[in-house]
Amino acid sequence: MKNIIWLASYPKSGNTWFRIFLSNLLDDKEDPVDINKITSTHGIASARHNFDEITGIEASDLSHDEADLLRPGLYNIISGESKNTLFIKVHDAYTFLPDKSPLFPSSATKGVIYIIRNPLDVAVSNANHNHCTVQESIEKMGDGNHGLCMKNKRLKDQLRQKTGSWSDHVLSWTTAPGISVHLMRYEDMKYLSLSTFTAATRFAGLDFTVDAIETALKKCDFNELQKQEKEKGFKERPLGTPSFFRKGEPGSWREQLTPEQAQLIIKDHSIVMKQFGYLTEAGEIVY
Amino acid sequence: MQHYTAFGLQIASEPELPGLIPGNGNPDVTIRFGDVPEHLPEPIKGKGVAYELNEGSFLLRVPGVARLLVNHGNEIIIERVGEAEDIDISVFAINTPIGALLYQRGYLPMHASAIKVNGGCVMFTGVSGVGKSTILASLYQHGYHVVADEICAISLSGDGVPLVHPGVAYTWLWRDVLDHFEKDVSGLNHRQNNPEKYKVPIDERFYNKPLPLQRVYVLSTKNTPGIEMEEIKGHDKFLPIKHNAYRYRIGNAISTPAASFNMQTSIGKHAIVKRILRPDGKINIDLLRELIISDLEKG
Repeated sequence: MKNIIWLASYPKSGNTWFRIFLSNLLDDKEDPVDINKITSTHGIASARHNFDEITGIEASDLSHDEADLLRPGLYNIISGESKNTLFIKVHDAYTFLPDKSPLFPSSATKGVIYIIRNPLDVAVSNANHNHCTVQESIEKMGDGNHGLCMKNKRLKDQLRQKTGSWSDHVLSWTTAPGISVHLMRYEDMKYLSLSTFTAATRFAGLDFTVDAIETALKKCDFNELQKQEKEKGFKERPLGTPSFFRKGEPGSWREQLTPEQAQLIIKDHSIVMKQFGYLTEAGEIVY
Repeated sequence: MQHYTAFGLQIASEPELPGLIPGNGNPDVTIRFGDVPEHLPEPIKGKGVAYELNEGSFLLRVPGVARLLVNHGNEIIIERVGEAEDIDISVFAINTPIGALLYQRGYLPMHASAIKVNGGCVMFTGVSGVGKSTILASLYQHGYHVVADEICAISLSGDGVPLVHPGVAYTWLWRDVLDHFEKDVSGLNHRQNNPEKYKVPIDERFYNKPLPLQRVYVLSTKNTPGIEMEEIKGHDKFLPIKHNAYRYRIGNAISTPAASFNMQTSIGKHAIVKRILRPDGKINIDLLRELIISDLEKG
């Protein structure tokens, strides 16, 4: 049964915002959903606890590559045991196992909502999120071998996630064969909110009125998210990071990147930036 | 056959299982090599990616290592796959199959580590990676006796008291923890495919008798600084016990709801349950240990 809609993105591209929007839409309560109780979406694909329980094998006894071999089966079971559509966040790139089968099997996949964001803003947001320097963030985004939870020295609560470079990540999902992918740009989520969120909900097969979508959007307005985080914290914020919902404004990279750093990102990603409207054909920055 | 004892059971085993303590030769459970099918006969009662189970049997398929079949709580048959090494076999045998076998025999295996304190057992439970083995190793270094790690087999005494049975006389620790303890890893074993998780013998203070469970610490993480500890009381005790049953999905498929409820109720009735919240990321081992020791001394 194909029940999973993957909410896929490179980290810090708007995935959490979209999940909170979906929760507000699906929960339909008077007050905004508590950002620490997002129950209408269904966790992250790389959660190790799910892997251990549903495979019956502890991921920590396996190498990363051995664990990956069991992941398609994991998603088939998660999908097969659900009667409803599941929205599962994923930061892995769309990759293939040694036998050429995909890590995220089409047999479990109802569709993919891929969220893309200007890499210039992603670089700054990721530096803040991971408390690394902007330079390190840029290097990671340009590294084809990059991933999350890659080191073996300590046990993490998530499995290894190969992301590849920012460009690799975007292309891996947007060209994934045999599955239906809906692309959503963060900047359109901001500037053309109603039509962008409406299109994504329609793609997901959710039949809500424009009024309901508008109400859900108000409940996950950036100010509301910041207010909630300030009042009671946000459990997805990494320890040591001042705030998860930091700025969110397209183009805010201009306050933090040096011209040289911006050029480095453009040099690494110009082809994909042009393809998705972040750079004009003449090489001008759009946001 | 080698004879061992672990989890309150006498075990006769064809494969060598280093780290299990010697048994008396009168086995409750036999572990042997043999043919193991790819699938179990229908009707299948429960299924995961690498396992399936029916009324009397549990089958685990570890890709590239082995198929392991657990029958009626008294037998584990192992078929090696390919070139799997002995350590691979022992890692995966003394793991989910033992958990399934314990469920088949009516035990409650908890995903926990345990030490002896005075005349009772103190257990540390929580999800993988939260620090159960790390705190165990640290308390061991500070003179406490180890009772179990990873799987704590619990049964009820004649008068309904939960008893924790000794597990295996080793623990698995990651490189960063061993670095903290300044432990030389050169003599330690590990899976070839998993070079940073080491098997560390408990060769001095392993306590080899069942103990009444007196206290449970439920470990979890948070994203703010400082360690917090609070007692969980009343009905709120049951949920963390239920959630931290070893491979609860498999347990739910093997055990009856009444048997599980009985066990959980008994633990809730006889043990103090406390939640410890520590900052996410690398554990401040020394601080956590001191806090726990000071709490244990308060009684």
